Amino acid sequence: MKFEIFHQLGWRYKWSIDTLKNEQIGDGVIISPRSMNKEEVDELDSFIKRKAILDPQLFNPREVNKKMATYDFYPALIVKGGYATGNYKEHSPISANVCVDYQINNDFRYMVIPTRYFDGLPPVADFIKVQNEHFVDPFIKNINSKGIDKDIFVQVILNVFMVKSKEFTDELLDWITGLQGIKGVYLITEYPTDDKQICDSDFLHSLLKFINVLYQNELRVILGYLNTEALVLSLANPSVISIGSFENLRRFHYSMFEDMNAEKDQRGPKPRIYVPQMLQWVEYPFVQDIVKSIPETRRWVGNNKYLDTVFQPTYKWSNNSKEPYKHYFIEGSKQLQEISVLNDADRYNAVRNMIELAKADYSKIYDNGVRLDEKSSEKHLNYWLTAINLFAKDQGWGK
Amino acid sequence: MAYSTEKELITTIKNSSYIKRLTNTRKSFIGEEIEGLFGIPDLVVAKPGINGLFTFAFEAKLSNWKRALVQAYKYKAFAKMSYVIMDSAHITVALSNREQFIKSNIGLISFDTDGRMYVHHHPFVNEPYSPQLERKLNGIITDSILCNSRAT
Repeated sequence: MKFEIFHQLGWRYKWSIDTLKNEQIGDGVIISPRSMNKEEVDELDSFIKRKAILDPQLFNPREVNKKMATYDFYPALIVKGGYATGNYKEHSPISANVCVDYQINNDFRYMVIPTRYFDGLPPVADFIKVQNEHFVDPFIKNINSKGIDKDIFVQVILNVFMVKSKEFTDELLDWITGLQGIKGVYLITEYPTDDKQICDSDFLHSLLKFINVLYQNELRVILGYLNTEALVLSLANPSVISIGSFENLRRFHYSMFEDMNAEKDQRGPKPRIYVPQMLQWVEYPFVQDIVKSIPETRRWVGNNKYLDTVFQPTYKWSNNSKEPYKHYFIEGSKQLQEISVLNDADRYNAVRNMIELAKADYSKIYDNGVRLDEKSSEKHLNYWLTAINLFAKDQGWGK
Repeated sequence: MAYSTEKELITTIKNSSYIKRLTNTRKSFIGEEIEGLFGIPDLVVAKPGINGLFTFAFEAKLSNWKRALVQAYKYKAFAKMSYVIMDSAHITVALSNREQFIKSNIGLISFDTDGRMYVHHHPFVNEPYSPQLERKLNGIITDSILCNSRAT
C-alpha cells in the first residue's frame, strides 16, 4: 500500500512548510503546539491546514510551555489544583470538547484523539483504562454528538518495554482493534539511545509486527517522529510516514515535555548531513573527507541545490542552518517515494538492497583508510537487516 | 615500566625534544585540549611554514590504539599531520596493525618512561579535509600568537 509523507513540525517549522509548499516535498504536516502557538497555527494557509493533522501533545498532562498555554485544551490549564490520574476523568469532557472544536474549526484533515505518556511497563489494563476514560471515550462521545465527518485517529505512545512485551502489545491490539468508529492509529514510539540510528532488531521486528496487525485489521497507521528507520517500518504498510528536521523531531523523547519552562542547555548536537546511500546522518567533516578522498561518493550524498551550498568551502556549518535539513527533506523523501510505490515482497527487496548497498559503501570508504566514529558508522545496518529478514520470513517473502 | 596515566604521557610528549624542536620559533604555537574543532586533540602544535601555518595534532593513549586512530583521524579535518602517541610499553598490538595507520595516513609514535621517542610511522603532509575547521584552528592559533607577541 502506498504511503504518504508528512512533515513533523517543530522548531523552525517554516522550513518544512516551505518545502511542502514550494518544492512539493511531502503530502502533509503534523502540527506541534509545543513549537507553534495558536496564532501561528491560525495564520497557516487553509491549503496547509487541510493537509495537516494535530499532534495534541497531551503527553505530560501536568505541564504546558508558553506556546501550549495559548491553547485551551490542556489538562494542566483545565484542572484547578493540577492534573492527577484519579481526578481527571471528570474534567476530560471539557478538554475533549475544546480540542475537538479546535480541530474542526481549523478543518484539519483528520481528527486526532490525544494520549498521555506512560513510563516503564504498567499493567496493560491500567494503561487501557486511562486511555479510555481520559481520552477515547470523551472524545468519541463529543465527536459523535457533533456529527463530525472526519476520519478519527487514536494516538498511542509506546516505549521500548511496551513494544517488546508481547503480552502488552497483544492486549493493546485487542483494545485498539475493538474501538468503534476509529479509522486508525497515530503511533509514536520512544527508543532512548545515544546512537544516531536504532540499533535493535528485536525492537524493530516487534514494531513491524505491531503495525502489521493494525494494517491487517484495516486500520491506517500514522507513524510519528521517525528517522531513517522509516524505510524499515514501511514494510508493515503504514499509511503515513513522518519526516522531520531536528533530531527531536526524528526521535521522540518524553523528556522534551518535562520541565518545559526550565532553562535548559540549548547546545544542539554536532551538525550532520544525511547521506542517503549510507542510510546515516554523518558528521559534516567526515562527509567533506569522504567526498574529497573518493570523488565518486559525491553522488552518494544526493543531488540538489542545497548540497551545492553546503559544499562551498565558505559555508558556515551550524546545527541551526536550514540547508542540511532541506537536503534531507529532498533526499530522504526521494528514498521513501521510491519504495512507496512497491508492495510487500518488492518493497522488502528494495529496502534490503538499500541496506546491502549501504554496507558495501561503508566497506569501500574503510578500504580507502577513512575512519568514522561510531555515531557516523554502519553499526545500525545489520540490526535493520535482521529485523526486515525476520519480518519477511513471518510474511513468507523469503528468497 | 609503563605510564600510569595519560596525563603523564602528555607531559613527557610536551617536554620532549621533538615537540621543543617544532615550537622553537617565536611564532610557533602549542595548545592542549582545544575544544570546538572536531574531537578534542590532546595537543596541537603549529609553526610557520612556506605556505602559511604548518599544523600537527596529537592523540595520546596508553593502550587503546583503535580508539586513538579514530580520534586522530578526526584531527586531519583541521591539521596537516595527525599522530597517535602511545606508551611504548603497550605498543605491540598497535605495531601489529601498523598498516591501518599507513592506510589512514596517521602517524604512530611511542614514548618510554625515560622520555625516549620511537617513530613507527610518519604520515604524509595532507591538506586538512575541512576548510571550515582548518580556518577555525588557524584563527585560534593566529590569535594566540598575536596575543603572546603583544605580551612580550
